[in-house]
Amino acid sequence: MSRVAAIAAACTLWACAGTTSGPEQTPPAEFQAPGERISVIEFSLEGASISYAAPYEAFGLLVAELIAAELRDRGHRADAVPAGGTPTGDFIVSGRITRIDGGSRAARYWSGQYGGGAAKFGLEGYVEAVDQETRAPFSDERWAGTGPFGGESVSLVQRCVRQVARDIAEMIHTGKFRQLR
Amino acid sequence: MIRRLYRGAPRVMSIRVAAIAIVSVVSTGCASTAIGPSDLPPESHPAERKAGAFVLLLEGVPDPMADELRSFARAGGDVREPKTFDGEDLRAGCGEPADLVLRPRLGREYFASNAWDRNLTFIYFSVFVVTLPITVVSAGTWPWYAHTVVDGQLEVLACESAEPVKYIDSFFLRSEGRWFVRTRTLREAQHEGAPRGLMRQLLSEAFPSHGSAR
Repeated sequence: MSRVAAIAAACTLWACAGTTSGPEQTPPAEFQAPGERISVIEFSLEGASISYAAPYEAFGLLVAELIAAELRDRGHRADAVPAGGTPTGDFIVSGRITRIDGGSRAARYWSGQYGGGAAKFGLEGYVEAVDQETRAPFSDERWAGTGPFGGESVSLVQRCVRQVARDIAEMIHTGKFRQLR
Repeated sequence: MIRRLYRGAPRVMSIRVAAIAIVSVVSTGCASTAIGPSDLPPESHPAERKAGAFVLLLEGVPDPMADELRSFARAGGDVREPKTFDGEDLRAGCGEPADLVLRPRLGREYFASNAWDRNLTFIYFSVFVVTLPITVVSAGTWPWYAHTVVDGQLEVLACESAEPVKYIDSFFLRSEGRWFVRTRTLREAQHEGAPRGLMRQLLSEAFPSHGSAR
């Protein structure tokens, strides 16, 4: 019996690793930026809601690098630009981080499956063409609440950061931009 | 609880203990290849300088960045490294008009990896013989990742020109793999590799076509 319970617990734990969820988003607005050179500027931390004990000062740069890497994987020419650098792209992606929340490991251990103590990461920004006045705004947020023994906050926030970067890159790639309601 | 886990089966117990020990040692002490050759940008080589020297100001610069810059400069001609350098003005490093003064600086560095969570899970699954296959399957199918982002700058002053040129950039080093690796191995490899990659990238911007400074 204990073996069955152990296998069931193990499978649940294994199956849940790597999943994230997030708040509801609006239907997409279209704006195409394919094939051109895209510069992703470091996201600022100004006005962000932060509840996170580990270092986060480089998160704006990290998420810019992750978005650029995801865009390159999708066939675009993309690079990240740190604050103070000069963007060279035809399209500029910029914005700010809105939330970094490490959540609570204890709450996740007991109720992570139901969203308790989830780690959260969110940002907002826009894509604009250098030679046009049109802008495509976007925002995204991801929550992660499951991991081994509740999951380490740093790992879960990283999972959210990576997923947000994937989401934003996908929006830019498909030209369908979403915002949080 | 422990007695129930290990009741009446010394052989099974010894298998369990051995399994936990093996997984613990392998996942916390074994080194996979943390960084592959393609994870870093290629080295740049300067055009050979007929006159003047590269003057490298390396105070406070991490060793990998300094090594990379030295190796770049030595490929191009004479190299000088002033032991002491006072003040912010790069011109103080100029010996003759044909000299080229280079001063790199590393800014922020951030490392993250899922290796710790992975290893914890593997050790946990090794407690039960029946869940040992999950450890093996997980190690083969659940990839580890580690990434480091660094930013920094390179100031270049051609002594015959009026103003130094400053290049600011960041570098993202990401590695992935399967099986067992410990967090410390990844952290140390990336701590060495990321500044090296940044230096190569800054040099390729400052010396874009194997020639003189941009």
